[in-house]
Amino acid sequence: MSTFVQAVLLGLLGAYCHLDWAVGSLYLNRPIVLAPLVGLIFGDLQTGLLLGATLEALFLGSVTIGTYIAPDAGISSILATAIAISSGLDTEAALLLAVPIAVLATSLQNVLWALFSFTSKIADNYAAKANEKGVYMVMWFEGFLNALLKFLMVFLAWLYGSNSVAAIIDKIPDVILNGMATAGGVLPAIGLAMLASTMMNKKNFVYLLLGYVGAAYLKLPTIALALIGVIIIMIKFNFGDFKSMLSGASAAGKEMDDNEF
Amino acid sequence: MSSDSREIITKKDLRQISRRALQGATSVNYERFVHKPLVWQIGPALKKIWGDDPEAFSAALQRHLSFFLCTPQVKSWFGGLLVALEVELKENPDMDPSSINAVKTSLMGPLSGVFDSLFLNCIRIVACGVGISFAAQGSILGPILYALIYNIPAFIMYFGTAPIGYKMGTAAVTNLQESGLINKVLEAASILGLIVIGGMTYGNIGVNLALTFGPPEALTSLNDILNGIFPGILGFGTFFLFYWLLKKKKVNTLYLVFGALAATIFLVALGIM
Repeated sequence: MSTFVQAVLLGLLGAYCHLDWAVGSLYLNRPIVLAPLVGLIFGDLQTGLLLGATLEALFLGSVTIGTYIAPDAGISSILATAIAISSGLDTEAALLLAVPIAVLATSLQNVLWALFSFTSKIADNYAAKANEKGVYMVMWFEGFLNALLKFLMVFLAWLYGSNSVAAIIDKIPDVILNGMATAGGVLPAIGLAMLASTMMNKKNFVYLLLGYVGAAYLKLPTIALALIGVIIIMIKFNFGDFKSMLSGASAAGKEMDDNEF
Repeated sequence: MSSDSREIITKKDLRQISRRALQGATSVNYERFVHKPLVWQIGPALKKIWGDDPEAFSAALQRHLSFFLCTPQVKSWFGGLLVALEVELKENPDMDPSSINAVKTSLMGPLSGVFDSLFLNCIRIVACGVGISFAAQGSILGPILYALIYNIPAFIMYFGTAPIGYKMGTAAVTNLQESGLINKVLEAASILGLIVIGGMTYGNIGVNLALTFGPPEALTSLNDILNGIFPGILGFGTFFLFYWLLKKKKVNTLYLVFGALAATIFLVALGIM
């Protein structure tokens, strides 16, 4: 198999690392699945399986939860497996060669996710014109660019070597990459402010403060905050007074359960 | 409220909501995260509900393009619930449309807390444990068992929960209408929503200064001092800055995003952030 065909196949696995999220977040973009597939591409399924087990154990703790974006375990394991099988390097050495590309893939994805705040505006404009298909189109376009980014990272790294790809991307000023990554922490403030602006007023502003203080000082998880909210609501609206509610409306007890949970 | 109108949404529509939940994270952005996949998921149902009124349909699309982030496997349930609330909104013009977002917001954080733990920290770890032990012996069962153990519960969630969400939404609102409690509960939903937004404001916004001062042996970070006064004060301040610009100054979000990006890059370049 020519290097070019290998690069295309590995690149497609790279693209799948993003596309997994478009087919049900199946978590098949993990080392334990990708490494055996890379093994198949190189005609060595056995080594792929063994490397998959090793890499999955290494990356076990690295998953994306909420707004925390983990380093790219998928891209690392595709390249590390390919390097290990074709060069006979041991897993750790192969991983060492692959990780810089995975880190770059994550930085460039940060740039994309920051820039997608602009394309969201296009989606907003379609929504304002009651054109839902326009919104879908923006979503698929963004998803395509994200998958294309991961395809190219793996494809180019295999075709021209990790080092030369890293060297090209090194030419992008650090200020841009770091700036976009930092903006990843700032931009959610806009989304949350938009959300709050639909329901906040002078009277209920204190509840936002309460949630903030609970999370910031008491380190309460969201579930605890929500439960405190439910308790406050029960006190404030007299929902805790079951006796009068039962005599008032027969459905009252039931509807409370339905609504609060 | 005639019962006919609630039959706008059929089992077929709910199946579509389940199917489209699979595209839950096709595109992601740092400002509003997975809001577009949500519109993709419930868009056809929204069109069925509001199709005869382009203005209301447009308002519904814009409503659901707000900030959304939750565990993929609960999205079917969410889709069902939100569509039920949209049907009620159409039936009951007195209902405040913003209450739909309040309900969405107050539920997405706590539910994601539960289901992220369940899927990522529990089912996934079991799947990995079994998968790794087989793969380490060179068995193809490794990846296969891993995929099945993780995804069978996931698919039960995807394809079993949209009707549950829809029924819960419908039942809750119907009972509330009958007992006349609806406005109280909608007000309560925005209280709960704001508490959750307050919590998310602390956890999801990261605005930090890189500045340090003092002699090299006792280098002090300005950021640590500020956080000592009020944890995450800069992030909270940034939130209010954007809130003020949006609500009081009516600044277009496009300028906000552009300004935030440019300012961040500028401050990073100066070594301030």
